[in-house]
Amino acid sequence: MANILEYKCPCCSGIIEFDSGTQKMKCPYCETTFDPSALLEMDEALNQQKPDQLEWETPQEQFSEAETSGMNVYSCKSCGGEIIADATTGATHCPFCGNPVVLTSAFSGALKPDLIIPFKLSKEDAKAALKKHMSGKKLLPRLFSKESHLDEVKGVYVPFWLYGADVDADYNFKATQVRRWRSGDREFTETTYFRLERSGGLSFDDVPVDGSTKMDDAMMESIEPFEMKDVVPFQTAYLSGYYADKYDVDAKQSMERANTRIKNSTQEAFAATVAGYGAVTTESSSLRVHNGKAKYAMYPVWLLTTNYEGNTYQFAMNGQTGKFVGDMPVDKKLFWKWHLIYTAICGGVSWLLLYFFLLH
Amino acid sequence: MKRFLTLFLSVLLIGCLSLSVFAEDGLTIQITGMESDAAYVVDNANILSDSEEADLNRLAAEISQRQQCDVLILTENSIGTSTPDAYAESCYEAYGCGYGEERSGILFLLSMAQRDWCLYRQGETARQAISFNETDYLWSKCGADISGGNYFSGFRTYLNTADTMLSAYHGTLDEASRKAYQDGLETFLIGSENPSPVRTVRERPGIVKTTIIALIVGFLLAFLFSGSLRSQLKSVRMKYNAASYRRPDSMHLEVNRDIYLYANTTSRVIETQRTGGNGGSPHVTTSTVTHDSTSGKF
Repeated sequence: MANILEYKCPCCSGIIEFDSGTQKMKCPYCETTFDPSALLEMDEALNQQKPDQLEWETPQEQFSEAETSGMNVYSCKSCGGEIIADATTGATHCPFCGNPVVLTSAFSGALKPDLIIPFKLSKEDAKAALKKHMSGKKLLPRLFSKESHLDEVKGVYVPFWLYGADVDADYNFKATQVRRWRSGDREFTETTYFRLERSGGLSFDDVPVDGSTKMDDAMMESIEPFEMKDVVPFQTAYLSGYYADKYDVDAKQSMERANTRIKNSTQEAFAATVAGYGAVTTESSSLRVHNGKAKYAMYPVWLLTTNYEGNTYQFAMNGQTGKFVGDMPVDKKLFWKWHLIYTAICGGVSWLLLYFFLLH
Repeated sequence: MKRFLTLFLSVLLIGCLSLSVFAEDGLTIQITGMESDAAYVVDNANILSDSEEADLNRLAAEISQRQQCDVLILTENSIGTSTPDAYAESCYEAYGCGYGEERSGILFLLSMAQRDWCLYRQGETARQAISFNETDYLWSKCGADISGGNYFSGFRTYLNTADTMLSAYHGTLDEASRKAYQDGLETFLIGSENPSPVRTVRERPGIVKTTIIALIVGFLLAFLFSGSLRSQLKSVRMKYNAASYRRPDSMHLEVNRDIYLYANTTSRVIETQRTGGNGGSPHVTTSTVTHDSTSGKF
């Protein structure tokens, strides 16, 4: 069985967790608080512990190799219960005693993240944000907020790749200037064509790309940006009490998405240097990336899951900034009701305009 | 100066009772039944008695000669598919009406089949003396009689009012008449924000038609608002760029060059005519040359 890590309170031996409110480790039993950095040494000491040597006879019927290839089995240090988690799980809770556990093997060696942004917002903040997210939506089914069952609210550290690079670029634009004037009974139009050459560079820092296939990429980009002012070196202590995954999309695979976003931004930046022309089109472009570096980071995300009429709806909140996103269903009856109301208003205004002004 | 009189005498000389003129838009104008040599008034629609037509002719001739600006009346049973403005212009051009080099004159056209009226002005004198505001005022004075079938009274009012306007333009009105005219015009222009019942009822589009159009427009416009409400429920979208992660002040340009390639110049004839030809509403056409016209339904 793989190694797992539990942070136990030196005072009462209870399992301690990271508290987003105080930004410290806190024992939920005796309420003693500890500085995460103080636990760093303890973390390292725990890493030195030798794994348990527990030999068990296994049944004759075993999982096939295909079934076990994406699965890890852990033993809870508090109750001895068996924790089965997929290969990417880095932190979870024991299904038997509920204690938070960190699966250290997911973050050992080359898999260790460089950075982490600790949770700044709590589960209560996430629930309140969901309520606010639902309020004021005229087309949201009335029963959605009342009857939708909040299945799960969990804080997850999501693996992100952060890309930073200096970009050199050459752009050629074709632009026109149009001048009109009248002479006698004729109108003249002069269109002047220009070729615009732009070469230069700009830099990007920490462009994030979701490194987990479990997470919806659009949802993770929707809760951006994450602010680097709160970033700290990674410590497993921050994971305690939350869920965490290690990456299953590596830096090379994620690079394509980062390149697309960087290219689009570069295009916009160079196009913004063109002024005083009527129509501008890009004729050619060339981008070169220098000093590109990728960092591995864990970002805090609250995930909330509800169900309504048999469908599951997922929401996400940036655990640092509180930005909340999630698509919700449209009540078709309400849609047409409001459409008819707007038709009556717009039609009334149109009638007055047509009758008294336009057709007069 | 060419007159209707000349035209009709020529017609009589060639022994024709009808004259067809091909206008610039292909319009064929048929003028028939000249019964008088005083051709400032041509009543092809036969809505005036002989004596009425003769009286109006005498009055129109006197005004035209005194004001050095033709004041004309033309009635037709039908103007076919042509617009009143185009028909009036065609007649005016075809018969070479008007005084002086600028061929100044005003032609009042009535088409009985289409219930159209048109006041066509040519030359600076006519256009300055009877601008669009004055045209509306002129129609307000004579329109009620014409709409009510009192054509003789309506035409005489038209001639007298046009005479007053031309005199005011030339500055030959006495002080009392000038003041009365100015007061009447100002009162009309101020009151034109509350149009007369005749004008309101006849010139505005039908309620059913307006309501149908408004409902269609409203239904389509409502999608902007209901679509906006719908979009409130969708908040998950991919990011297009990485603008949030651009390092501040890192942008620098080493080449920033704008190179002139070539230039194209094209030209077109200015088409300034605008026509508001709907239903019963009066409409105005404007040309950059020398004439204006105002038309409507009666």
